[in-house]
Amino acid sequence: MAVELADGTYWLSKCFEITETSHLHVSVYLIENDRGFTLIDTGSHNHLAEIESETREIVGDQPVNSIVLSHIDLPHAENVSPLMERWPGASLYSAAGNPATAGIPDRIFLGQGPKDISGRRYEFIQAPLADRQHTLWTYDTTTEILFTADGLGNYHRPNQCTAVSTEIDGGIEPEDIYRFHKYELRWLRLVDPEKICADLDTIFDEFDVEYIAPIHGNPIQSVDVDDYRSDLYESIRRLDNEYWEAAETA
Amino acid sequence: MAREVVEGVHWIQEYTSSQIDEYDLDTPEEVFSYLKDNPDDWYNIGANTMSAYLLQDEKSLLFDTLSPAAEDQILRELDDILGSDGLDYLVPSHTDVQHAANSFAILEAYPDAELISPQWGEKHDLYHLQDARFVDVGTTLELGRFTVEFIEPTFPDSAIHTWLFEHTERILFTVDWFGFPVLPDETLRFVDEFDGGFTLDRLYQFHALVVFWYQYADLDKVDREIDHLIERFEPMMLAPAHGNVARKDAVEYMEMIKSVAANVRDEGRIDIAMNKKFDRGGE
Repeated sequence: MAVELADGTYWLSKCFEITETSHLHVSVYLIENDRGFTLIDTGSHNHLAEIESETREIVGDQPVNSIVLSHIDLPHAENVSPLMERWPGASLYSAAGNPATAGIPDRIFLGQGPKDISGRRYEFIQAPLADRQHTLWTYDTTTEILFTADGLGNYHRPNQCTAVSTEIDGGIEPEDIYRFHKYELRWLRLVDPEKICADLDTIFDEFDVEYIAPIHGNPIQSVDVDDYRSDLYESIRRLDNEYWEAAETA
Repeated sequence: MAREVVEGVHWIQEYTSSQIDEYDLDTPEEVFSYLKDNPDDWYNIGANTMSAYLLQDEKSLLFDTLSPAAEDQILRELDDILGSDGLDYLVPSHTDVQHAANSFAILEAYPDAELISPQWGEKHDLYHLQDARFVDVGTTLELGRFTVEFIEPTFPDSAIHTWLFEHTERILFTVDWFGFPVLPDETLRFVDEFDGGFTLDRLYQFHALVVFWYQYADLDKVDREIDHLIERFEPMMLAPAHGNVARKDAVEYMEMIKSVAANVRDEGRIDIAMNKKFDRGGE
């Protein structure tokens, strides 16, 4: 199901059932530009048919003229080829160093910094929270939506699949934020929490954010961003505490 | 291309292109002298290689599958080495395409091979691993002379991830750790065979780029984890996925990475685009 986050920006919410009570989003986002639409990521093979049909429904006769991959990983890049077959005029953007070894078609290289794609200005940010080194977060300067790939996500409950943060009673559950980061970003247990939190702060100091739009989480509206960040930082500190508690008993 | 590390352990290396021809450097001495003064050029002159390892014993096990660009290579190497023998186990270290992408082709060529995946989380379906045999940390496989243990991936990127340790020859398979750029004429050379030696610069260039989160590392934790690996396994050799085999001085190299992590923490990660000359095209 597609949820319009801002004028011309759509969240195509797709879910993967981890357990009966815990789901993982595997989303894509669609952004209208002056020549068509840009896709942020391409989703999992599990959802290809739905992604294609929902995208067709939104774009109508207009083309998907650009695809921006946050990184090369199956739940994000797996549908590049079928979607580019469906929209053969789309340009592919990625920070992957070598398309052949990354298993993607030829791409326009992305590095961090500003770039215009399909007439729209984006800022690309090297991701502080990621499971691949070449991951870029995408900031849309028009809508001030920050697309955060594998970072700033959460597991969610079965009744929250298409909810943005303000539609979730009590907000995104801190335990869902903690569990997501613990299981999806395993290296977080080895960091200095204050150092990574400070780095995340610099991003939010630099960019005004109307929405955080993760691939694996509910979109977080601006009014909830501070609470989410607080819960995230507490999660990282909790992982640090757990590491040292385990070390003491080892 | 393949080389036997010890009898029965075959190292298969995929080498991607280097831009060394764009530099006016004729000898290894000139190359290393240049790189000493221009460390940012490691990835222009060297390459990010991919390695897979085939353990051939009473049973056989393939660890990693090379990148999608090397599907023909891995199938050819397996055919050359295994001959009419089948492949018993296929173990992608993790779900990254450079490590796992040729799994389907290999399973098609060796339909009796058992696909093995680390048990971590519940999202194996997203990675086509739903029919794999799941193994926990500590699980061992007896291949004959070789005993392979699935161990905690101490420094992972993706979630579903495993390292291996082979107990008989004491080989630690470190996947993305202990990676480094490789010069064109170093393909399938052991680290002790490198002209010009092996320096921290190489390790730094890789880890500052790939193990990017070292920029946030708690160095006490990193050092502790490395010490634990050394104490627990006492490895004789290191077999990484993105570098060459170190058949000697494994512990010395592991200790070196403590300095590498400290350098990355102090100096920051390397920018994605910094080490490569790319055509920044546009519409």
